[in-house]
Amino acid sequence: MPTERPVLARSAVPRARLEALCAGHFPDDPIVPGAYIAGLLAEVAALAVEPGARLAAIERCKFLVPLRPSDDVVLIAVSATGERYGTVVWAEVHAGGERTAQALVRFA
Amino acid sequence: MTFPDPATLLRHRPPAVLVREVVEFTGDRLVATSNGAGPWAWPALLEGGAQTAGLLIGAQQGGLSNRAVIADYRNVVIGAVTHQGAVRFTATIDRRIMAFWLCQIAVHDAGGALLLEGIVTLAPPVMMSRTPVEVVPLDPQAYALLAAEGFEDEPFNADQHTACELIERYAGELAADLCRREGLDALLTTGQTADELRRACGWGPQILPALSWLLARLTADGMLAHDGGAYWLARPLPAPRGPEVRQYGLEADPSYAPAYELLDEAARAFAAVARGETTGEQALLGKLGLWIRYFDNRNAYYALNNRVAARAVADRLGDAAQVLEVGAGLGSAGEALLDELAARGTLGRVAAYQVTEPVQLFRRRAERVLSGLHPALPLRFGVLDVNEPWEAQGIAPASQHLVWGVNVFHLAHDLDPVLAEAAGALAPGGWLIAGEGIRPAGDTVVGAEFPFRLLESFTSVRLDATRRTPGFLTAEEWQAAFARAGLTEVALVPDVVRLRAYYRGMLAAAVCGRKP
Repeated sequence: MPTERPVLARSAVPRARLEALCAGHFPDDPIVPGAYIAGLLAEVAALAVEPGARLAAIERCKFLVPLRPSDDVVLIAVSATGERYGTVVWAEVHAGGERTAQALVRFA
Repeated sequence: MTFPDPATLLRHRPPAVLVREVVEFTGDRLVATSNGAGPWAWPALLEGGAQTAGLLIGAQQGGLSNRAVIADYRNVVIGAVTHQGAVRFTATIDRRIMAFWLCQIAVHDAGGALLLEGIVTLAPPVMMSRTPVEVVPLDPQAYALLAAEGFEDEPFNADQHTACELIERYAGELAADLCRREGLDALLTTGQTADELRRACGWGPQILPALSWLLARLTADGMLAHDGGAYWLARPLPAPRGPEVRQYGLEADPSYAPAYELLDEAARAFAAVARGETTGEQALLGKLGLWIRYFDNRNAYYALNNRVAARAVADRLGDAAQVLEVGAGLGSAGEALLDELAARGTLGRVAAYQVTEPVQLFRRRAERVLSGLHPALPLRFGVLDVNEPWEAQGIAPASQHLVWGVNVFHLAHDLDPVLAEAAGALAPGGWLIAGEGIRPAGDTVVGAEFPFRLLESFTSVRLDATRRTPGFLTAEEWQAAFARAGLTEVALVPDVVRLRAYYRGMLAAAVCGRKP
């Protein structure tokens, strides 16, 4: 029996990678920069589209709560929709079981 | 104008500082060079653009401190996935909406080629700080759309959004609590349809509408998974936070107390209705005091629909208007309309206002309230059951300039014939206006519906391809239904179809259509 929400793609982000992204952002208060979260979301979104599809745009990337390095950060691509200007993927970041950011990523 | 060294202004420290020097600052535009030459992956270009925006907003009168946070990025177009060489970051103020600052950002290479552009929204840190219960602020773009339609600050605003979101959250907490209390979580370790689940619990089919709501609510909250009609536990139910959510919600807006009470009553009644010990009607409709508090404009949660619909009516009311209100209930929608007309100085446009309500107790109260507030107005009170032929109940065809009702038409047993009756009552050029909560999508569960899912009168409506759920309809379902009734100029006020791009919850709106 499945126990996880059905998704198109899922990947874990190692704590070390998150810590590297936080270097200098900020001293004594590490928070993953939103732009790098957008980058992570684009990575998992790419797993949900045809190989070779070109990343064209981040249509929306919304940050719900600050993301700090931890061992339970998971990226998921929830859905992919074919639209006139390419494929749009809905992707999310979860940490501690809570959604912390979400994005619509468009591929040409 | 010289600009201070970015490194002294930003909270960032190397290697996170991506801007080096401000080379241009014109008040609402700032250009900075990059700190190094890369290679830059596009997220770094975006981060540099955001830092530049932070510097620009920090320099504004009433701007943000260097503890500001990024609320979102939008329309980020990526020209180069990876780039090497020094770049220039440009930030330009797009607009300010309350505490939010929207900046256009662009990144160009040394030759002037555009590498990346987009919009970043900066917000004060409190908007992202951990509070007892997190509420994501409404997208500033949604407020911009609402303002463009004349809903500048009322009734839609940040406080209202917070209070509405917390009611939704509380409904989810109650769903999880019922799941624990009734042992559904143990049964849901294997996939179960709603019907299998209620049979396993020994419950009657009357609970299916409310049970289906509960399962959909838990699925929407990520606690259940759903596939092919079966639900199963996706993760252990989290620790209950209901009392905390309720407390926080009442701090946000104490007037929402009746909305919380009604949800609590529904949760209390759930098991008894499921076991057939009582009906939803018996358990809930007997709480007259609660309904009076709930259907009252002092309850800002319920008043939202009344206020939005009243504005749409007032905007469309011509001179010497014959107005018919259906399903007036306790009179709160009529009160909101008359308030709106009085504020505009247009009460004199009403030649006759017929207030109809089939339940005598409600109608009498509406009469006392409205006649007491507006003794000089030509008000009449009568009975109209919208589900029966209107002409036989004294509403002559083509006799009305405006027919309206709030939270009435979605209760029609069969929507199309009822809308046809309403359209038939309109004179040419007359308006039909339905104040409604609009379901964002056919499969979206709405917290406010939970108590009503226990009421047969709410769930026993005709469903088909044109209407897929009892209760609230989607914008598209309303638009199509109004068109089938022969109405033209069909519009939703505010435009929830556009707002949906920025908010995925239920929205209050007035569905408007005109008789040709």
